[in-house]
Amino acid sequence: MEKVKISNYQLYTLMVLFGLGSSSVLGLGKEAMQDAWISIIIGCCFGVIIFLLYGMIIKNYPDYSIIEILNKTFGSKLGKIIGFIYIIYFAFYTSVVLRDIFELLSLYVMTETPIFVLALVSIIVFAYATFLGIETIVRFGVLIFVISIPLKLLFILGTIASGITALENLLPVLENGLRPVIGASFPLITGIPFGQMFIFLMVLPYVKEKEKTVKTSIYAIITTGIILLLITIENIITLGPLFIDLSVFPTIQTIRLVNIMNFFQRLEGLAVVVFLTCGFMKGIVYLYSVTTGLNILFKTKNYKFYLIVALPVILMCSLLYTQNLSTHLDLRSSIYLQLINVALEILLPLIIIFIIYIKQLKKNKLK
Amino acid sequence: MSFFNLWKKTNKKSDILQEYYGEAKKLKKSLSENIKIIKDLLGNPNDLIIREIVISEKGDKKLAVIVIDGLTNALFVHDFILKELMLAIRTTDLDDEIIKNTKFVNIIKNHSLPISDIDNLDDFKKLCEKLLSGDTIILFDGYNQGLVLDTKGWKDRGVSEPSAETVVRGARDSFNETIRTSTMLIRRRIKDINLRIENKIIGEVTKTNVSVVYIDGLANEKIINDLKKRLEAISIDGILESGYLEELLINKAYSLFPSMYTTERPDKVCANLLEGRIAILTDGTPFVLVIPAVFIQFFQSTEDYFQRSIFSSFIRLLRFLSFFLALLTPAVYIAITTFHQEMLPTNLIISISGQRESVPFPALIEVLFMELTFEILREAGLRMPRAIGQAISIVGALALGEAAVNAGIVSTIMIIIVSITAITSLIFPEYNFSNPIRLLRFMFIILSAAFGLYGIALGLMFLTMHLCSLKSFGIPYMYPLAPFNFKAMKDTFIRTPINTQFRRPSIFVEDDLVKQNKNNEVIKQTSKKGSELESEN
Repeated sequence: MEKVKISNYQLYTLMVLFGLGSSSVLGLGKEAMQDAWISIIIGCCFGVIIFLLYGMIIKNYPDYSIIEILNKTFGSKLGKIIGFIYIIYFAFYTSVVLRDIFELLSLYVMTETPIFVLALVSIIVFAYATFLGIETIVRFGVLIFVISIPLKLLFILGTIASGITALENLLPVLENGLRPVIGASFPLITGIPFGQMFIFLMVLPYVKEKEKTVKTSIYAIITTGIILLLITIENIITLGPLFIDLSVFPTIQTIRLVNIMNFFQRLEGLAVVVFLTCGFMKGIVYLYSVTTGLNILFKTKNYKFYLIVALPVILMCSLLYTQNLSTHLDLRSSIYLQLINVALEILLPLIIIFIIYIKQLKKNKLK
Repeated sequence: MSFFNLWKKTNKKSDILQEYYGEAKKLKKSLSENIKIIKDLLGNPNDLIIREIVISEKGDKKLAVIVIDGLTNALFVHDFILKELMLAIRTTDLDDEIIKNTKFVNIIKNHSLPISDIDNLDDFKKLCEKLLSGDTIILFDGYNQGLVLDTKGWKDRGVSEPSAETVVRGARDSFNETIRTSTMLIRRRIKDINLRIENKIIGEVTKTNVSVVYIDGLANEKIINDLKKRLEAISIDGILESGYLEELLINKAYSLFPSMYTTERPDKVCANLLEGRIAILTDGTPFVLVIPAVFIQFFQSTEDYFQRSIFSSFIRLLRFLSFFLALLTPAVYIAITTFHQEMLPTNLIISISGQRESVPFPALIEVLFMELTFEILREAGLRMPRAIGQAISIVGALALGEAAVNAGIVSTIMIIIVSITAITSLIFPEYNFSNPIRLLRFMFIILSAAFGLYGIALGLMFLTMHLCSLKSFGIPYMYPLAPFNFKAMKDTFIRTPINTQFRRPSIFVEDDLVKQNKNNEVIKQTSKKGSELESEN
């Protein structure tokens, strides 16, 4: 652990950027068709509830990261094994984020550059930020927040200004009943973006005002939800649910259609870069958690050393774990990955809370 | 063994040095012996003047006046020391009591030298240091004591207009090479009792005067102590310019960005002192260092505060725009012409490719060629003798102008791009700040040649991360952007009117935050009356 403190608004910006990471580009809740926005609202509500669950863990161990908390609750041996599983899980998601980034790039911006080169230069950015430490990461996050969020909102305004939106695309509401909507919200709750907020259990111990952390985090989750809601509605009213289902990155597809006075057009190159900055923040947070997690697990002094180990592994993993874009997207929505997500992000925290509760009961009895 | 001995014996000078200089040996009683040692220590140079005089009629009160020619004010020494000692002393009548009871040295010190700054002296080390910094030394026969008289005075450049930072409206004076003049210029502007000027001598050989200037109670004590500690730790043979200190005092000496603000304008230094910053004055250079520096500061000029706020805000935004133009124009040109042709309007891209048709090189080579030519011309223009200036400008215009286009080496649009980068990189009030931009421009050119717009985005991300990681004496370099401070936004990208700025930037200042009284009653009342009058009419 580094001996630095981050303030609450910095945590807020980091969480919002993390939440928007790859999910603002990928179409969310595609299965719900024109009701995807309802899925996002449901997902956001559950995201808040899950974070309240994490809040119960943090309340008991405000100064410790999840790896240390595992050690304390499961004992050192089992705790270490579970901690290591978590680190592998984080590392896997780092490579997934990396894959998102360079697939997006090679589809829209750098069509002829080999993906290995794109992956390499992108992971160097992750590595440099991780090397500079959490203090720099959050400061960088604030700057990115100030620049990229307004730009994203401008892009949304751009589609409206171009006159290519049709509000009737949102109709009919709940065509097939609630079931597909709830089904579509399930991956939102377990995976991107709300379930992945689990990673912040690695960052929260740095926060200055401990009593406000949960509150700040929940504000951040709600903000993420609102921005995602806006983006999804924008996608639906411009492209229509059928076309969203067909396109890989619907948001970029939407911005591609922006044309104001024949001057502001073909903005997708810029849009990809703007949307990628959030993806980078996500990757940076993951990589930072992997390295600091290893550092805590092996009780060494400097986490930067683990960059040498983590970088090649993550780079190779992101290149090799799947063959192409469509298998990558399939894997993202596969039921197995979601089960793993549920186990690690919801079940295990529940077990931890249970153990903490039992320990407290024992203490009270002894008294 | 004998060889080493021989060598030791021949090195007579170092023996004397060790004996009298190294351990601050006391003066001898005999005047002739003292003079001999001084001559030996200094190597009997041409500009050492030793004037031996006899005061009393009996010839028993002998003394010597020692000066270094050129460092002292010769007229001053003549009028107020030699004349007094040789002529005026004969006509003065002192009480017998005093003559009997007081030491001869003290009689001279207290009654016959009309000089304001007098000090006693009893060792050779202080003697040499004072002598070489322009003071006059008086030694007495039969006493192991001397006097130091402040008679410093040398050919000075005088206070002139600043050469690197010009303004249209504002003060016209600048610091000069003499530290006393520089402190004078600050004191003339800030007449507060809390203004502190702390002196320190740095440099084993040069013994340069370095002054730390701050306002007590305003400047952050932690930063002052940190600075003093760092100054204390410096051990170097010489400080010839404040640039030495700049590199010696900072942690990340390899960053491109200046972590101290350099200026030669007293009004700028005073404005910074009022914000709670600390100035470091160095003898021998007009350039003063101001710490802690933040990124935003390099976009602000003193003149911003002398003009109407709306106009200054416009100029500031212009500077930010120029920063990005200077940094990115050539890179964006490469990225768009080689990777993202679709981003330009069709007519323009056809026109550009039409111009580039006759150019045999790829855009990267073209850009590098022109940018390097410009950098070379710029450097040559700085260093060349004044007399050849015209020749260089003619040749430069050929190399970077129509001729280059006609020769088919570059396209016309390239000339425009180089001109834009050249002009925009000179807009910053602080000259130093254009240096990182010049270098980083090449980084961006290469990145964009390899990865197009994505390369530029990568470069910007690296740059921002680097800037976020920098600190100047514990103050984050990107303050007030990251960490974000909303109150400071009044004076960052824009400048709101002075009567809306009530507080000093809290990050530098200890506790005295209030800059002006919030209810400026007088102004408010008069403006109200004014409006009433208008309505009556």
